Amino acid sequence: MASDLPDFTRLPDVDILVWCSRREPLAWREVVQRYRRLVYGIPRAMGLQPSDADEVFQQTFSALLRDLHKLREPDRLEAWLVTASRRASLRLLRSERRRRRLAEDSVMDGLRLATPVDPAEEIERLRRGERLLRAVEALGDPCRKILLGLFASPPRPYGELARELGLPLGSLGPTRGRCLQRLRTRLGRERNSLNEGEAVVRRGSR
Amino acid sequence: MNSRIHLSDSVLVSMALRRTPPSRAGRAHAHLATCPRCAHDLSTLRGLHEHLARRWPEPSEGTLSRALALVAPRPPRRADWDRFRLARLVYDSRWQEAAHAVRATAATQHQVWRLPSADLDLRLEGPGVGAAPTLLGQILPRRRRRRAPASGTVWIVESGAEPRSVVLGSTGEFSLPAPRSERWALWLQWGPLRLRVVRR
Repeated sequence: MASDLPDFTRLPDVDILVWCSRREPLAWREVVQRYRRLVYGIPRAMGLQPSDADEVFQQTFSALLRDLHKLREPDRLEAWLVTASRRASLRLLRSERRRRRLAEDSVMDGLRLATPVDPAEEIERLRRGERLLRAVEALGDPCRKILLGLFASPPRPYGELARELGLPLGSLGPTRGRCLQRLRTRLGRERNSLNEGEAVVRRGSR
Repeated sequence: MNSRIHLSDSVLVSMALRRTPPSRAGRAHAHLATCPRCAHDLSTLRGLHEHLARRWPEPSEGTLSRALALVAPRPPRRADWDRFRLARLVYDSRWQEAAHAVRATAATQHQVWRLPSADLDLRLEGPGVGAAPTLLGQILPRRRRRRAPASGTVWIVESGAEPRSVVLGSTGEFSLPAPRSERWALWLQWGPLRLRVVRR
């Protein structure tokens, strides 16, 4: 029954992927929502137009679904998606360049894609930012709302946040402190597991 | 400042937002130079603020829907139809238009369909500038005390086309490309609620 399903927004990737392999739509929705900006942002950072980025997005998630059972390290889903999205973008960029070489039309010159100065740096920035955002979102409310409101641009006023959360204004500071502590703990844990993952990859590649 | 005493959260937050008064900034910077923990905290919070300020591109609703539809339950078989209760049309904005002899300029139709336990609000929005016609809907359960189901699916079925579906979240809202003909059917499954809307 639907009510027996867990809250997927709080589950780690490893557990969500188990539900995805059972074709649970809500688990799949969480994976797509969680990584949408990363998977879509990579082709855009590499200079592809929105319509091509749409194609990369679709290709990447289709490939994930196809290869779910082959994922050897489901805890490294983010890295898998970055690689898949980057490869799909490169394929499109190559075909775009080929198309451009074939078309001598001067109109095509006007449509030349603007390639950012350093796509790799841009992708890394996006990846770091999304990792932070996912950690904040995984804290759940009220921490999620407080931290996203506080660090939004421009930051939301404390009074407005307190009203929305139904908290007395005076308790927002201590709650914020607890939220920051939870974020620190969470990021620390993720950093450790990431380092372990990297070590496993390094050992495996020797 | 002693490196064992860390910067307070309010100082870290104001530094991340670059709103530290100059009178406090000097001491805080001196502490950061000797305290890796605070420097790391500040870099995290500043990173979050910069990431949110950056407004990275987002995929469109259509792109997201296509990716979400990759894992959609199969539409009910014909034998299952009876398990979906037939909804009753109780309001259609075209009745109002006919009664007042007016025609809305924007091609928007509003309908309310009723079942014993819920209402379904449907809006058929015509093509706009750069926007395809869309069918927007929301299930509104009558008994508010009951917790909204976490998951559900809505399928749209038209003759001569593959059934399309979208995932329903806890708000019960959905958006689909508008049907191409006047005759279509919707199946909605939202927790225990199974609803069939047949537009003839």
